[in-house]
Amino acid sequence: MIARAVRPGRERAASRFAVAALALIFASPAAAQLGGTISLASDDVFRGYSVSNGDPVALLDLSYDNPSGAYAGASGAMVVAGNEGVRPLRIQLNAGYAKRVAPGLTLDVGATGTSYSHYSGLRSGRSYAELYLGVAGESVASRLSVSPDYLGSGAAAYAEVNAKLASVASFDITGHAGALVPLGSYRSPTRFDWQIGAGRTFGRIAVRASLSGAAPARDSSRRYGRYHRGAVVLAVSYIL
Amino acid sequence: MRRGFIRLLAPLLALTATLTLSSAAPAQSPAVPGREILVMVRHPPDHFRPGGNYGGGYGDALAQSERERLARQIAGRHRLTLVDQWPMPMIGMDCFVMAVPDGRSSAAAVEELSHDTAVAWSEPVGLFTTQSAPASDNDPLYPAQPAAKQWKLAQLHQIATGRGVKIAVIDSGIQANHPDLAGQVVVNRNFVSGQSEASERHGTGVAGIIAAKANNGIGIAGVAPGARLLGLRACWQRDTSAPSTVCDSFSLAKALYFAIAQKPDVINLSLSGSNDRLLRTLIDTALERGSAVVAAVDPNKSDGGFPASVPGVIPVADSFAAGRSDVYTAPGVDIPTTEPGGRWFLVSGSSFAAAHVSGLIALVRQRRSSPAVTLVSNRSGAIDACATLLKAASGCDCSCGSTGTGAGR
Repeated sequence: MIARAVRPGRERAASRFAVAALALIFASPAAAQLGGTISLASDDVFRGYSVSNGDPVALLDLSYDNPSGAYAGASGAMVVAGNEGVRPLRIQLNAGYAKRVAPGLTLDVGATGTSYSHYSGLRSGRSYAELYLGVAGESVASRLSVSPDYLGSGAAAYAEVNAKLASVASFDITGHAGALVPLGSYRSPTRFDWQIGAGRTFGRIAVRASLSGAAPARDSSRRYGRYHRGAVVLAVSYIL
Repeated sequence: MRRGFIRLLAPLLALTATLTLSSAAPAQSPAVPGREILVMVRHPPDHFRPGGNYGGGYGDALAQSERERLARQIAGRHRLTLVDQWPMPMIGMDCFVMAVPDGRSSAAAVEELSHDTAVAWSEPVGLFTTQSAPASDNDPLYPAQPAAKQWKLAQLHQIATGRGVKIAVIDSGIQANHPDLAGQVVVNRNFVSGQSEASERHGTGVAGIIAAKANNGIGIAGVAPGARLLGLRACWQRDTSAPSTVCDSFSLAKALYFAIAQKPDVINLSLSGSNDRLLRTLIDTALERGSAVVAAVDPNKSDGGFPASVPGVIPVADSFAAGRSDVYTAPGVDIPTTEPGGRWFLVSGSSFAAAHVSGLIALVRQRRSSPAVTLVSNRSGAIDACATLLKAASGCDCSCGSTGTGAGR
């Protein structure tokens, strides 16, 4: 018997969201923008750890932008889980509001809900919600996310900085650094993660390679996922 | 659990299927003024996207997907054909080129689009012409530059050479490996859709006047031989009829957008055309960011033409324009300069007068980096280059007199 990793209430809510999104395509006002990509990646690394147990994934990402500044998104992943074949891995939904407050400065606030299956290798607490607040300039963006119960470890805050570092031979080089700070009564160490990546688009195909890592190195509890030292991820996407 | 996920993913897959549309054909040729229009749509502010990819990656791809889908919808609603696109997040806009079918005027299409709530504004693709007088002959020239006498170029170079200054030349293609330009052009890019880099007369001539190498034993000396050029090809050379070099407003917008992002000290626009809202927006952005913008005056227009007439832009003509107090003049008749093929030739026109002024501003910027540039001129607008540079180089023990005591570069 395969244990249910997604609570029924959340799953129904997510289903309703997807149906509503379908309705939006046909009913959306003239200026609303709808986008999607399908991708294949050699691993699914999130905040420094593999959340696909190190296995390759197929991803579907959808986004919706309203001229008012409200937006929504959905990201679903299936994992190629060894002998078992292709299995559902995760679903993540988010909604938010972004506003350009000055030339080259945008504020962004929203919420996400994420749910993983056991194929992620995560031991417990595979569903969580987060609220976030972000500030973005032309090439640097920072964000603070807070979760009441992050992956079963209690309340946590995650602060990150993402930057477009350079453009070399039509490849965009990007960097990321983040810190996960457990909030709450017992003291757990802050965990850091970083990533550097290079990507390029050829018409409707986008390719990307990235290198990431985290510290402290070991996470024997598999609380945050499977750790690789210097994980390299290759991905190719098709723009719908 | 598996059933649960399938129930979840099935509507998402259906959504994906409806999103899959055929891709827009890539642009094959420069935007066609008269048959094509620009459609400006607000670029949604960049924001968080789920999936754990940071800055670029899926976020950019999703933005591209949204942008292209919206463009196809707008084109479909108005029976236009999507030809090309260029995101411009710096001004909060995405720019699409759409073709108007035969039997409809582009003015009518622009009017119709202005009522579409998805469109911020629409404008026809305008034609711009460079301000070069027709060439009389191709014989190579000995260095006998009017700037040598009128501007005392050698004495100017005792004070400054433009070192450390970047000048964006938005024009036709520059021959970057011309012997008199080798090493001066640090960026050489083409923005004309469907074309690649080329070495063309107007752009190469303008580049030579601004920054041809000095004291290399060949050819001419540029006004700012220490400066570096960004060669941005937004114009192309037509072999038949005059004017022989033309540009379209889409290529110009792309080149200007790229130039602004490089934060050059000077942007040289030796061209003229009709008022254009997108180019005006970009020029205003460039001026706000501290770049000096120099433009050639069209002698046939009472206001000097666009963009010379834009407030903040420095308008330059090649001869005394009677009754005009607001236009500068600089050497622009029979100027020897670089020509493709490693040669030199004679040129005339306000294009080349503007190039002289761009070079002079580079000299000023080397001595004083503040964006405000004061050009000293006489009553008829003729620039006194020495007085201009000395004003900026205040505090240096130098002069432009015949005794020329050079005191630093």
